[in-house]
Amino acid sequence: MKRSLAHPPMPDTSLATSVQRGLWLRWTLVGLLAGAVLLAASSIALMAQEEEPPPLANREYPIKAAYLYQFGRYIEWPARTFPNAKAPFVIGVLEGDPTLPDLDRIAQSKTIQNRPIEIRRFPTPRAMQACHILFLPGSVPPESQSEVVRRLTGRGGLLVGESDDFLDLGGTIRFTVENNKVRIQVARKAAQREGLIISAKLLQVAHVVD
Amino acid sequence: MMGDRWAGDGSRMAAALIGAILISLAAHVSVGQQTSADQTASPPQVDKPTDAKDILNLDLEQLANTPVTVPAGTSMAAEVTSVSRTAEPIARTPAAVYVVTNEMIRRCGARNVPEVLRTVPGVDVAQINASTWAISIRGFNGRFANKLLVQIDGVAIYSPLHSGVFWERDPVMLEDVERIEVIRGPGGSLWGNNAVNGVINIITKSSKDTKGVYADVGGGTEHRQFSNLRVGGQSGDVAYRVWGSNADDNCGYVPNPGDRAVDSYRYAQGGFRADWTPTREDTITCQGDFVDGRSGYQGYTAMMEQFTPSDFSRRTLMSRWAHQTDPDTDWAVQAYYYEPYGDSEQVRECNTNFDVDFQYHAKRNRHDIVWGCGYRNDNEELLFNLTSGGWQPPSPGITNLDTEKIPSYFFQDTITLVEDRLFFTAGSKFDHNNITNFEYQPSAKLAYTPDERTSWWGAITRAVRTPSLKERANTHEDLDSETLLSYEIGYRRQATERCFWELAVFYNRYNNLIATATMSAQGYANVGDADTYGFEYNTTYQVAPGWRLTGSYSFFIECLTVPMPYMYEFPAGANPRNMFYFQSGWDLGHDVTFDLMFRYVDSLAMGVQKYFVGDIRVAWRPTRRFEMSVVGQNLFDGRHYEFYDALGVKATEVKPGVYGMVSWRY
Repeated sequence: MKRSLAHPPMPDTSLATSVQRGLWLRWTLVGLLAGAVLLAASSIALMAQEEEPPPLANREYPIKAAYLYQFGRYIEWPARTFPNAKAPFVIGVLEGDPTLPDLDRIAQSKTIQNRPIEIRRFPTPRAMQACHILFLPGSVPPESQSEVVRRLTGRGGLLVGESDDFLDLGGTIRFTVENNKVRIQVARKAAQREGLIISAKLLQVAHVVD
Repeated sequence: MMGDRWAGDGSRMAAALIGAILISLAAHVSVGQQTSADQTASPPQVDKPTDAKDILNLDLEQLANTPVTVPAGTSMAAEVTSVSRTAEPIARTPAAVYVVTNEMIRRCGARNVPEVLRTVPGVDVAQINASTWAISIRGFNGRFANKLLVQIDGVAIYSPLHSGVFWERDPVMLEDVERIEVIRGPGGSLWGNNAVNGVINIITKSSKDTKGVYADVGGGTEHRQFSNLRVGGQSGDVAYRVWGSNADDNCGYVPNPGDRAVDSYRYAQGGFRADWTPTREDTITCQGDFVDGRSGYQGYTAMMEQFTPSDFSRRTLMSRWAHQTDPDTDWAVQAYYYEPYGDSEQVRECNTNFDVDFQYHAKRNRHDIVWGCGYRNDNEELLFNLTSGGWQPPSPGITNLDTEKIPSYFFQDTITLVEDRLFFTAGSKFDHNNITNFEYQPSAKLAYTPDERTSWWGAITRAVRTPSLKERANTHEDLDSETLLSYEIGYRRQATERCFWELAVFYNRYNNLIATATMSAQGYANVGDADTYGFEYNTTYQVAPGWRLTGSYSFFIECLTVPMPYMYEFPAGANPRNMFYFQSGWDLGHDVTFDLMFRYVDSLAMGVQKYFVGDIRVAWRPTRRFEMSVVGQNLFDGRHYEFYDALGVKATEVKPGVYGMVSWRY
């Protein structure tokens, strides 16, 4: 089955003299040039104003705050950590921690296991007390970290940290940043020691260390 | 007269440009005082949050996959799925890829996919007549441009008879398109045969994102009438939608007295989609649609000629199961049935395609691996009514016309050589088809991202195009596949927070191109060679919160050789050397948006003149639910041909047109 190739329609070229073609071409070039100049000029002008490189949005803190909230949803705490049915779920952080604004936002609009969320701020690591979730950022010096972990082990709280040896110290969950993403490592034995039951959903997403 | 027309149009064009510049300056002043409402044109984004508040609402798997640092408000972080069959940010993609989002589709005033593709850098869109299009990337354009793979939600829309796309048979309801990903360059490694010069992936929204009612209705001079209606909802774990659509397009223009334009196009279409998430890890999708329409693809009839239009219809049913085992592992299996049917006075074509595809994706240490396998069965039935003997099948002695059976498998590994900096990708697709037997399509690619604002990439790829049924039926020897060896290099830069640009350069070497000797009885043979090269540049510049500029320029050179007496069916000169596109979008006050677009396409050596046209869209959206718009298309240059008569389809001139539209959302 062959289809013959029809020749193309010949556009009416008899009247397109070089004068008219030149006019058309000239306007096309003017148009293109004007467009290009406009684009180039405005980009150069505005680039000159913005000397700094573009701000990089760093979402590390809201991501960590969101993780802390999710831990509350996928872990069961021993009953003794809640004095009564209305007792709040307590997340403890150091004063001035950059995750605080996001944690406050979460506390305002969400609940954990139907309990209100309370964000407790501590002035120093030494002042830290047992909370359902306690977060020790990597900026805390190693001696203070091990002091807190030693003091609060066995109180039924989830200890979350970032430093390289946090799990060796006895912590339960550790944040790492891999490939530009925040991931978590979980020490199951530490969780068992505290009486925490971690749901399979959370273990699936985490890198289980023991 | 032609001369007067050019002079008149030239000055009108200049006036339009000067007007545009003045308007833009005025808008810049007024827009500077506007706060961005939800109309703000935002950079292309897929549904990943960039807002801190959105992050607080993510669940565990999403948190594990949210990038920590991204350049603020940009296109580099946008994710594409077409290059590696899995989601990856554009910054790391070793391919020339462009994403058209739903918002961009709305703002450009397009009523069908070919009109949307006019805005994509490097895509050559030529409207042959009101019902047929010639669309290609990097050369070889024609009515059935055979080096482009087009898919709608994974269903390849493609006629094995011609190795090409009948664009008119597969209209898409644009409102429910989430995005269109266009890859320029060979995608053969992952998507299989005929993705030689490019891949166009049309991805529709999940039913979860189309709940509620959407309705629109409109009409005008060229798009005479159209309407769309969609109803979506959710019941338990199942989200679903049902939709219907219709359109009626006017004929093009024929200049010769006595000729009558008959290329009108109309269709009615309906479909459904359901997405079921029985567990957190699984999503099962089922969708289908049917279309019924009539096209006068003949274009025009000369005096005394009879004309009967051609009817077409198509049914598609697709089902897909995607499973996310953990943040680093997922797999998906998909099956579809695609059945187009065409009926004209002389040819009846019924085509049934069945395809099953499986892919598995795993990230382990420094390797990001995707592999899969599939099977396609294409069955073609043709009847001819050329002689007085009524409807007859093709003459006996034509072998292998009926069915293609193609098992295939592919494998690709992206290795992180230097964390966050250097990525090497190697892979290949293999298939055994009953035409050319074994085909392999390997590729090697490198992506280098020295920082979050810059990326370099390079690729060397081999791709093949298997001969079409028509070619195989008309040859005196076994036909081999056409082959391509492609060398590409590209650069992307987020220069400032508001300005993004990218450049892709390529050199393609083709061998065994199929050509035909019409003068003798020899038919088709693999006798041709070609070298093509060129580059595409595009940029986006967000001048102010309510003013955005987009521009692109592409350059293309081809050197085709073929020995006498053979000639190509897609002659040299069917592709423009230069193409230019410019769009300025403003969010003016009072819920009004205004978009002005210019397109320039160079002349075709086959005798089609260059053209420089503009499109304008003005829209008013007083509430979230209601929008009115007026769109002018193909303005400022009068009537013009975009292509020439090809393969029995006669070209008519594209006319400037205007349409108005009203839409409601609940």
